[in-house]
Amino acid sequence: MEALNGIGLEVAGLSCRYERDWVIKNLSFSVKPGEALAVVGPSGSGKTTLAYCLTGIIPQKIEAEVRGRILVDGRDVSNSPIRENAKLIGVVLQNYEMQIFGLTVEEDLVFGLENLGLDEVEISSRLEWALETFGLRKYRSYHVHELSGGLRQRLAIASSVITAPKYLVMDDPTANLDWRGIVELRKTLQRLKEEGKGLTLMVRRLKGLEPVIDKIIEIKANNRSISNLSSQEPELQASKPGAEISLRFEGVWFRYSGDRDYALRDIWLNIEGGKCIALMGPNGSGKTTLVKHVNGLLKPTKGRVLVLGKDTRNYSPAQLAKHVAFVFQDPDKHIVCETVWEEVTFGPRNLGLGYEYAEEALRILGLLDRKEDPPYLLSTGEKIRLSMAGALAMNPEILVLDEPTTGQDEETLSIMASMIKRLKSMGRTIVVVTHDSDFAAAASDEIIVVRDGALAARGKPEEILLNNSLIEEFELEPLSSKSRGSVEVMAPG
Amino acid sequence: MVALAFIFRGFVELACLAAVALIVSFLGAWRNTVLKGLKAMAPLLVVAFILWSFTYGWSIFRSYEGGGANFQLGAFMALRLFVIILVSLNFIAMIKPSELVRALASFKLPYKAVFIMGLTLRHLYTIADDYKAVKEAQTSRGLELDKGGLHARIKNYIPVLIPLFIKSIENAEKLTLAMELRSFSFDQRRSYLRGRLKAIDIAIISAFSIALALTILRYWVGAI
Repeated sequence: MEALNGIGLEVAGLSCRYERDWVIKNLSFSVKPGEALAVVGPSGSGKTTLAYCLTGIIPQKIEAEVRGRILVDGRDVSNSPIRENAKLIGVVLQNYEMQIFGLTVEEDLVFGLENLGLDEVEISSRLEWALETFGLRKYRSYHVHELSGGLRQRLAIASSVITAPKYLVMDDPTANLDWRGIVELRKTLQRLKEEGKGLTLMVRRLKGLEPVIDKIIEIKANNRSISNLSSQEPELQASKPGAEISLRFEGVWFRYSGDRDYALRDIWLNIEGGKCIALMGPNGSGKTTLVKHVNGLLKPTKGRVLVLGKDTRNYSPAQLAKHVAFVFQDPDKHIVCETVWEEVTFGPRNLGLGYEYAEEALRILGLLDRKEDPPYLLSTGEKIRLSMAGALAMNPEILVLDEPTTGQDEETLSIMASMIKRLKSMGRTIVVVTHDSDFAAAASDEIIVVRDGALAARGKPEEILLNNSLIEEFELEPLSSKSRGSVEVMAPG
Repeated sequence: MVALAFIFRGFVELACLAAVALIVSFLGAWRNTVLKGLKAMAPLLVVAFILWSFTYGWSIFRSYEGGGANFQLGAFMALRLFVIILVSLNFIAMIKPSELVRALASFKLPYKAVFIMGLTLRHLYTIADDYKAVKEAQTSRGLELDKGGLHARIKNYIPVLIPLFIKSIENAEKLTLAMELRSFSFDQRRSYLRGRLKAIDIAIISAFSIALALTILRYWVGAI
């Protein structure tokens, strides 16, 4: 039975396509137990498709043309039932939210075990093991919706591992994690390797995980590439020059109704037009709460926020949309229309603007040829770019980007950085929330670190990001050596 | 799994006794939630009292010879409403969705039904999240929701509901794939975490059942 190559997950000459274009082209690799392989590729390069192929979902549940062979310990995946494959290969989907079935942490962990028909003794011993290994004991009877994103992901991993598969496939596990989360994930992966699991990680960037990875394969984006920005003349005209204070927080305190604690505490900020501010800090520190005040989605409990001199308490978010555009994190939830074009023109339609900015924004962000496509066909990276185009289409004076860098590949990141530069030169104000230190260094004029709802530190990028004690104290992502070099040039002395 | 309180609805002045019993019961940890809920419901009680006191006599459906205000009836009705609210609040504050699901399972309901109920409860949170997200996305791009009269406002919400609906369908699709990956099937026997009724549960359930039976006997059958 164990014919061919025996033990290991082996992919040989795999190609896959849904319609005309090949999403995966002639891919070969192998993973042995105790080994970690990273498949690195930009958004839209077929990483999710690969994850589906490895479990037999393609072609058994989703129709697609598949060539080549996938063997798990010598057994062909595409011919054996998914249920059987799932016992050997555990999968953590990119959208792990949908993978959590239990109402509580404990229930979810038990779910997979019960599916296998194990007896109670076995179930409870594995449950205890998983609670311990993944540090979930404290959260045992927590409800899933009470957990933070990072914890939910850890639960999804734990639930996949608890059924004791030999191989684990993870689709973009770092996408939504802050630096601390990435470090935690690295430790988890290390432990899994030591237990002899074979790991396959599909990622857009490797940063932070390098120490545990044994092999790297790079895959390229399939034929769609993003247009090169530098060759284009700026067409958007500077309508209002900046240099004045465009955004002002005056002693803002905020708490969610029903909460006892303040989510924001005494925020004072003055942001000039033509500047880009980066907000950094760990998950749950109040960054998103802060930026939601900029377009009036949240109103201060105490203090006030002035947008171009207007007190946000007197305006609805829809009225402020003329001045402030907001790009949300988690584009999946915030994309609302049925085609790319409808989505981009949603804002202009409501505000009664023309569509010239919409068209231009799509072109800059490399989505013009996908105008008629439904958004669900886009990859996650493309969806974030689509949300951005939707914001730029309104030609806003202030642009708020809430973690636009999550799950973006290096190329898109550099396009975003140059886009921000161009908007700045037009006198626009940009507030960007990000975990990505390299991006913050490249794009922003000032970094503000938020912790526990208060401004904990602020300064020029080089002052913050080259200061190792600050990096450690606030658990920020360290700069990569490449951007460290360019930041040091900027730093005086 | 004290999940039975909701069966109980006082018919008579006995409700008074029940109220006393329940006040004792909410000396628990969830007292704050219950108090907050009661506070919010207080105006309703007052309105009920006034309505029942003054309108009953002039009801268009019946005409009583006495007419006029009937404070005794008003007080009784308000009290009854109070008890109902109190019991439901206690129930909501006390029981987590997962406990409810487990309680149903312990009554030996088919696993299919219990599982689907659990999944629904779990995804209510997802849908609530999605609803919030869609609304935020649209208002920040200039869609005015809370403007105009009632009719206009209801109409305004249509663009929010359509994507929400589509998202739910998409989610269902993803969910089935994910279930497949966890080798899910309805056939598997499930025992773990389902729990059994403890002695105290049985005692409480039987006490309430007896009380209920007695009330029914007394007021409808007239036996006691």
